[in-house]
Amino acid sequence: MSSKNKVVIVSGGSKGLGLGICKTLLETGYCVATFSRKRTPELDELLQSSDGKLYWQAVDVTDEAQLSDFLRQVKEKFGRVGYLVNSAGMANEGLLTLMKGNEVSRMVQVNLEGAIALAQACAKQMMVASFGVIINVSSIVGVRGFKGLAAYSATKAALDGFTRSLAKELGSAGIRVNSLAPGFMDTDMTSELTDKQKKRIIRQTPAGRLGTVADASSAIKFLLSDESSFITGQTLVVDGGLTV
Amino acid sequence: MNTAIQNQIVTVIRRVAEERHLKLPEIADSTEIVDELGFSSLQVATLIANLEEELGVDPFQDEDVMIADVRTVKDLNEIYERALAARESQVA
Repeated sequence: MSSKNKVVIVSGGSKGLGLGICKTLLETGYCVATFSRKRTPELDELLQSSDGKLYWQAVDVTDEAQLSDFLRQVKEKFGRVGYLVNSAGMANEGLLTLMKGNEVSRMVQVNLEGAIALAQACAKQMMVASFGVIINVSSIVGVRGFKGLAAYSATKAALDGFTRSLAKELGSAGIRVNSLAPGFMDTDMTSELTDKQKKRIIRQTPAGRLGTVADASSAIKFLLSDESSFITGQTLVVDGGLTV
Repeated sequence: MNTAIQNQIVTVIRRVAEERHLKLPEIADSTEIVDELGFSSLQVATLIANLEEELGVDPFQDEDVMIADVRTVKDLNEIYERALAARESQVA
């Protein structure tokens, strides 16, 4: 593929929001490289219909060697990476005092350390081109807090801090860095919420519904595009007004 | 001193400087990258990113190799020569 490709890496693209972002960006004309620990039937379907514009590899984001190999393969297949969406994440729900230490560590490793490692590797390629866009998918629970998600919200709030600092570091190198903070979306990640919790969230949301993957994906598409070329260091909250 | 690596490094230094509109003096082994060439910390980072693309190694990922130890062009040459030699010995 030529060096004129718009090459985006989307972490965690096998399901939920990550998969939705891959679909939207493929439709927009990007060459999309994604990874996850396991493939899914939905991902297989997208791979088959992508006409070679979607690349997937089995990678655990906490494994440095696997991540390096993935980046090498992407560069060989599509060329230099110009865009990164840090979307891989996991949420273990429960009161913090009842949570196992290794569950907390794993969440920090995947949600925060994995995102930082990917941003570090991709930013180097972006610096060579003097252009790049990085989006970290955080969450409104990192902005407002939510019972049962203390450790998860800590990783997401940390991502927002990472976004602001990295935007300052890389702005003059032509690289923009933003966060997207979705509200509660109808995905696997919110499947542990009870119906009562979901109804309460909907009642408190001015838009009167839960968010969808499409709501978040279209905001990602905007933040990656030149339409947002003067926006950097920001957290864009996409929550139907829940946190207003 | 490996002349081929040295030439590649000087070429990349010139390219990064030109892209950032820096006017460079003659580059010698003893030329100081920050004080004489006028590279900012971000430009040094950009230089290293470019060298990684060109030479395929980032010696500064090794925790014993510190960017603070690099003052002159010669320091940079030596670090890349060592990193490339280490990579070759690993392959062999």
